[in-house]
Amino acid sequence: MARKTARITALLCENSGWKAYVDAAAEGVEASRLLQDLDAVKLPCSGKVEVGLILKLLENGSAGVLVLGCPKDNCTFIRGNYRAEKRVGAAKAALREAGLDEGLVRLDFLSSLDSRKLIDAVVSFKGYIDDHSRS
Amino acid sequence: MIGVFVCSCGRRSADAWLEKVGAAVAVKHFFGHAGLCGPDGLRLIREKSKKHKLGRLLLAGCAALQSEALIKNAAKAAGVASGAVFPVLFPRRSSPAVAARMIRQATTGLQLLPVFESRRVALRNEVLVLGGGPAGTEAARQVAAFGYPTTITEPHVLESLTGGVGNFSARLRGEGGAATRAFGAVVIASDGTAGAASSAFRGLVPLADLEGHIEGLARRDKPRSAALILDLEIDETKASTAEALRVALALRARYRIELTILLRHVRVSSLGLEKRYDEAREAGITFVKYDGAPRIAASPEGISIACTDGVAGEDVEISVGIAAVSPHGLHAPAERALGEAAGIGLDGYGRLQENNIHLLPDQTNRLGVFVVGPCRGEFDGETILRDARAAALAVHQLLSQKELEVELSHPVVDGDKCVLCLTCIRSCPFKAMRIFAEETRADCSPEACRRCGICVGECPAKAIELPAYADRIVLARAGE
Repeated sequence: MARKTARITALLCENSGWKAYVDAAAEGVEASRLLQDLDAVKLPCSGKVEVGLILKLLENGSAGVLVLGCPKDNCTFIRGNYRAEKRVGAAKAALREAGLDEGLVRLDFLSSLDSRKLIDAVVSFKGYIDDHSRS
Repeated sequence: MIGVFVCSCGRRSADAWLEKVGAAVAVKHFFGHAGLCGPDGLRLIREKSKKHKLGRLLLAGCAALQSEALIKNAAKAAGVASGAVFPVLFPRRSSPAVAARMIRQATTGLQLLPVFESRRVALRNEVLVLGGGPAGTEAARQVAAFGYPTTITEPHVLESLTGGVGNFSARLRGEGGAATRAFGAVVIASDGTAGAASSAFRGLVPLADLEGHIEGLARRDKPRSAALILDLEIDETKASTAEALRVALALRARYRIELTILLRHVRVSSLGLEKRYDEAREAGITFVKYDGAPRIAASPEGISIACTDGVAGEDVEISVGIAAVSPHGLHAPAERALGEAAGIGLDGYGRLQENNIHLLPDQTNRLGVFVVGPCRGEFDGETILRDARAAALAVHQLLSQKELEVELSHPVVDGDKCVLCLTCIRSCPFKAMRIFAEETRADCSPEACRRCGICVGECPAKAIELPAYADRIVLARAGE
């Protein structure tokens, strides 16, 4: 059965996730097709994500929210990624409490050079979302 | 007026593709071109911007359009500020529908984006150097040589450091009470007290006390063998290795003591250190590179040390008359107070400079405050001096600008929602948040702020907004 592919939102830290995304966008056809199903939004730091924003994105029809920040202790803003971790945890708790799947939100850490890891993260998250998609 | 420029380079039927994108985007000023990053593209941008009086430009295409230089050139061609040019990135071979969707999202976001003004902030030229040791004197000497009025003082006189880059107010204790003085930049170069390792039992002494201890013993009580143990608490520095080698060679030469040095890594990447290591080997000093934690216990002879030899992969047990542990790199309580007074973050060992690669070598979480030498865990002579020179250069690089141009895109605080809970002040990594007394609300200093948005995410009252990344803009860019 042909199903419309679910669109996921990627909140990308300007210093790592976004740079990896720019590299990945220049890669082969397969990667490119994958990224076309992604609404990529650049944020100054993964520490900027808010629980409210994540929930609002899901409410607005995003199938899942993937937050990508810098590796631990490598945040340009010193501790932003630790804060992102805390807040994504809080968003997961909120989803759990509402009886929804906490897997709809995911946080990953990657380096700006690691476009391969970005693609892997998107593939893995998209696979999860397609399996657990709310319809 | 927003102009959308779309690049169609590398596409087989570029015109048909552009037409489809244009139809799907449906904006008034839509221009397609193959090779927007080239001179023809810039010409197109110049002509169309002039003709249609475009205030903001959207450049959509491949990653080449993301380059800062290109954005600058395009802005120049269009006669607008660089901040008014926004790149949109298409993944390779995007379909017209995907391209159009991305452009629409970006255009909606762009329409919501406010225009930011800039302000010029003057930088004072006075420099404060805290610390009168080798690190501090060298830093002060170098800074003064650049022509900045330099004040050098002991670190403990600092009571508090408020303000931001270019205009710090330092409250300094003095004989006639505390005085507040203004500085453009601050260099912290305290000597860093190595925590005194207290001896758990007889026969175990701090490395620094070993020579004196042995010297004080009667001739017949002098030990025949000794061990120096490094890297116990943390991976130590080159300075620890240098000191251990010096002590070991001296004891060997003076009292013919059998010496063993236990460590995880021999650090010799400093001037003359490898040579000294070779000398130690030639003098018959044994090196054991251990894995895991060594077990140190009292024995009839003195001290017994059991550990796994990482090179041979075997367990070894050494019995010596006396053993010394290095206090280098142990917790330094003096830095904690200084860190609090200066608003500088500490690393896991309580030293001044958070454990973050972006801060190396001399930056701190506060723009305009630099750290040098022992207080940031560098004890090696050469490195300390190099640190001091690097920090002086960094001060010069900052203050020689005379003034900073600051874009007023910093977070804004809604006074009606702010309840002065101080969460933003606590969570701001750069000490940019403060209390704005007149309106009893938190406030952000645009000079110190680095626009990370952490305060926005943390504020429990949702009173803070980073205008360029307001929720409505993020939502517009994420959906339709």
